[in-house]
Amino acid sequence: MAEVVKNPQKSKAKRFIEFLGSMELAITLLSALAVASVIGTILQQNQSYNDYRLKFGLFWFEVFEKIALYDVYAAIWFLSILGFLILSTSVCVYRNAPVFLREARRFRTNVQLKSLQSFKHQKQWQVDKPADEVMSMGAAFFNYLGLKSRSTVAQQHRLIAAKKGGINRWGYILTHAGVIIICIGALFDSKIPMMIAEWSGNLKPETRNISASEVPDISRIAPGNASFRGNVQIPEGGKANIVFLNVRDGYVVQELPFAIELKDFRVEHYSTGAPKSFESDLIIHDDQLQKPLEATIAVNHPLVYRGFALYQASFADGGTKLDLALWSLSDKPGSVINKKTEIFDSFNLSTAGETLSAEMTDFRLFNINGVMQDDGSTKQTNIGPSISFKLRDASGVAKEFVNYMLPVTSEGISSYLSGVRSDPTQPFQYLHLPVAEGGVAQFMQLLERLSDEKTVETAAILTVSRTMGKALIKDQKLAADISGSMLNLVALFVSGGYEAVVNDVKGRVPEDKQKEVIETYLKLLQSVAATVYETMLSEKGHKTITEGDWQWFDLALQALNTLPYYGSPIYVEMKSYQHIQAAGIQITKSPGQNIVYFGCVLLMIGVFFLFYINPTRYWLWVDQQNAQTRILLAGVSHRHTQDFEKQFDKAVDDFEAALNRKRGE
Amino acid sequence: MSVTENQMFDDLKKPGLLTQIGVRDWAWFALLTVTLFFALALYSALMDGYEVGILIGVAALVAFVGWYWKSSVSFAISVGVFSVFSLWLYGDSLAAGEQNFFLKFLLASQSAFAWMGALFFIATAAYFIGLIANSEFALKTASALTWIASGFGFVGLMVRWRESYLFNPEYGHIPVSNLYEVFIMFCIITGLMYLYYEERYKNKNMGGFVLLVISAAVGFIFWYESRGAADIKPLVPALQSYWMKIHVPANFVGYGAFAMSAMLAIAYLLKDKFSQNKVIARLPQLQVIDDIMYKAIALGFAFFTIATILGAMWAAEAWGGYWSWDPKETWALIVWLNYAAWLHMRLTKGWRGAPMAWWSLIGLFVTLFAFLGVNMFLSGLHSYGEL
Ligand code: HEM
Repeated sequence: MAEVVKNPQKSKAKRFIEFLGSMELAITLLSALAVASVIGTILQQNQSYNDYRLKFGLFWFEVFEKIALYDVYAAIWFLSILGFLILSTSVCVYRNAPVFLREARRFRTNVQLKSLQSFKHQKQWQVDKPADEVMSMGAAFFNYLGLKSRSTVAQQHRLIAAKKGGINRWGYILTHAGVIIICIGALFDSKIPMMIAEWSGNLKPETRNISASEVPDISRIAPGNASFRGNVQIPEGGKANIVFLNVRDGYVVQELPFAIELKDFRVEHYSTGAPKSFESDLIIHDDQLQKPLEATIAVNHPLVYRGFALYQASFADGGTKLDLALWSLSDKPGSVINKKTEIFDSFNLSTAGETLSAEMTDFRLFNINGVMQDDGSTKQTNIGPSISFKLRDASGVAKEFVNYMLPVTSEGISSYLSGVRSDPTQPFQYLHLPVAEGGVAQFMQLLERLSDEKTVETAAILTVSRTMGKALIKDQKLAADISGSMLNLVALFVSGGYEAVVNDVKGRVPEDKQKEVIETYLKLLQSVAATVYETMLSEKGHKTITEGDWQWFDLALQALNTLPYYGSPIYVEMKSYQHIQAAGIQITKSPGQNIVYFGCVLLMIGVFFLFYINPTRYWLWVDQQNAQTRILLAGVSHRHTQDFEKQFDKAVDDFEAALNRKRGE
Repeated sequence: MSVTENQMFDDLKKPGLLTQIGVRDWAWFALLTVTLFFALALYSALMDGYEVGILIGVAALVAFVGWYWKSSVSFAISVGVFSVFSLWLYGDSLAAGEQNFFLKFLLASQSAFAWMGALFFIATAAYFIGLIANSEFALKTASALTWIASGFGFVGLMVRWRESYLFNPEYGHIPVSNLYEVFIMFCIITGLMYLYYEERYKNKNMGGFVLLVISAAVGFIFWYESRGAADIKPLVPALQSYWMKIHVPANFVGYGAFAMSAMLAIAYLLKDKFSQNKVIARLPQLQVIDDIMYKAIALGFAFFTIATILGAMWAAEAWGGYWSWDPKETWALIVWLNYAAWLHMRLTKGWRGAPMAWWSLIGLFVTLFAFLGVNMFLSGLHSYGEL
């Protein structure tokens, strides 16, 4: 190691340089880096600021924002730590490397006998051989050990100094230079240029949710930017020549020198329903190209074009076109309007005196669910397309819906499913509509008829006459009473389900009679509804009513019973769709990447030099003592490990064996 | 005269690896070459250029390890023979796993892993019995069991690889793709690494300590299996890459080595504190434990460096950037910084002994968090193997 001369008058600058290159500072910086990294992983980074506000409360939200905890790795203090680490390591290499290399080259022929004798690994002999002979034996011995050696002859003694593994010192230089180069490469790819533009007022992130073309110039970056990493979503058939770069709570628009068109996006699935591959067929339009470049990208298979790397990052709906039937459940129950719309569109709906805004949020082609099989096991099955949408009232409160296009079978019963919830943290509650030919139309017809007074009245009279015989019909008043109360019953049921009927009875009938009356009422209700149903079917041309028709009717009553809790004035039926997907493409430009890789290679080689090449030195001291030749063999290894102990012991044995052998044998 | 002197040492065995390679080693090399050609002839249609490269690299590595550590040759041959035998028993039908006696009770991957686990448990007990009762026999048995357990685990992984193709050709992939599979790899790698040092230092008394961490991993595997983790599942698109084949195993050499150094640290601290105790006194000398601890950390650090760099290269291809500060990446960096600091203290400041042992014990917790905690508590791009 280098001699450190203690000099009290060392200049301040020199002491500062020493401090910069000191191990203490390096370790402190490394620890700080580790702590900052821990924070960055525990506190989820780059989430929406609203989420943070909710999580920490206003006070802590602001404190954390001030110290940039939401994007730790781009925080000034974090970058400063990195900067100091580069500085410190550079100073360290600058100061140590020349010393280390000089040391590694030197043979240390100027050692003193005393210091050799003080070595842990040393051995002395007294022999009758002449010094010359011992010296040449020693040279051969070191050669056999694979060491480089140099002999010197002094007045009183001769010495061979030998060494190997000097390349270990290069390990130090390679690892540390590697670290420095990696950090420098990373700086090329960092957000620093953008941060500078922001400080100098040339760039201001946009926070509004507006279309890219409306984003003002102050939030745009021209194509020349050296490095960035951003995302853009392109619908099938669409084109983009920009990407969005996230900046804290907003974004900036990075312009590209070419345009990317998405021709087709594909998802393939395994039989379990898990995704197997995501692929996008892209067309690059660039003035520099003779004709547009076509390429397919997939996860793990990016396209690199003009130094820009294009990755398949995500996918989403690209505005699927929808053909909907909007069935009214409130104003004119059972009436229908056809509506053509697409995902991400919204339209207004006026029902029951209020205007709702319907927002189409998502379409999914596949819905893979665990469906119970006949043998009791569950199997991952695709239950077909679904749409998600929101109905928002004038005060801004929204209910969220998810409707499936195809009937779903569960526990042996098929039904059309529509899930609803008002709180996004809660699971969906499902409405099951019974399946008949022509979708939900038959159910809606039944609803329409049950909501129509005329129809119900006719059915009530028909029911009464059937159950009570001709005689009663004569008593007009009683008949009118009965059919009137049936009408009332049906109206209660349609507006509030069985529960409304039950509550009505509870309000009017003494407690001991309630059970009986409720049973009677429900029977009456069912027979009226059955009559309405029968009439409906016969009008539709059914000659006989089958077992299956009655099963459908039971399910329809169950659905009617839950309908009041559905909480929506309309039922949205998906008639058909034209699926349009969008691919999320991540585009990066990282000019520092190859620098980083170069640093990595140095680091890797360096680490192996450091750990697996053990610098070793041996000395053979030869001098004349009395009539004999004194020999001292000493050795030292940089690592002080057990291995060297064994090596040295073997070297001693071998040398001794050679000494004991007669010449020429 | 000088001629004789120069020849004087010729008949002595020269130190250094290349000069020590004998007939046996060349035979081993030849065997591996032949095997490699067979494998390439059979499977090259299924592999891309990178995978062929990786296969050749693996063969070279196995040859090198075999030269350096002779016992590994018999191990590799046994694993090879049993794996081929199992594949032959399987033929083209997964059902053979239920019907064939050898597969059902020994070699089908689930049975092999069960054997591996059971044998590691017994070996742990045997090592401690050997240490406490001062029984050479128990120690030898423990050592043999550790070999066999590692062998079962290895064969099990090879068989599972094939099973995944039999299960569904679309699902087929190397079994290093989820937490369950890598835990098995962790047990094998740690086991083998320990066996190497045991042989080098001719002392089996510290085996129980190292096997303790393997047993804990086995316990985890059994618990995890009970939650259906052993099911063969297809690969998500992000993992369909040849990088996985090198990145994951390299990482686990690191994890295994760090875990081993931490367990040796416990042995060190016990010996340091209770050197009077008759049983504890049988542990290797403090200096020897310290030495192995350093070697394990150096080895682990080297491989962890490679693994992290490979991970960055893979990330550049899969996620669009070589470094995204994803929690797993970040924790890999923390682990790496921790051991870099450890090595600096030892090599430049000359720190030794109890403080370093404590530090490497703490290192285990840092490593454990990077390895398990991140999957359990943090979310990010590394979204495989959730608990
Ligand atoms: C991220 C930063 C750093 C990393 C990853 C790193 C890594 C390493 C590694 C792996 C070794 C090998 C230990 C050995 O076998 O000798 C080492 C040695 C060393 N490092 Fe660092 N180092 C870093 C920063 C620094 C800094 C800033 C200094 C400045 C004081 C420094 C000074 C040294 C010295 C003096 C050695 C000893 C070389 C020897 O004697 O073998 N290191 N470093």
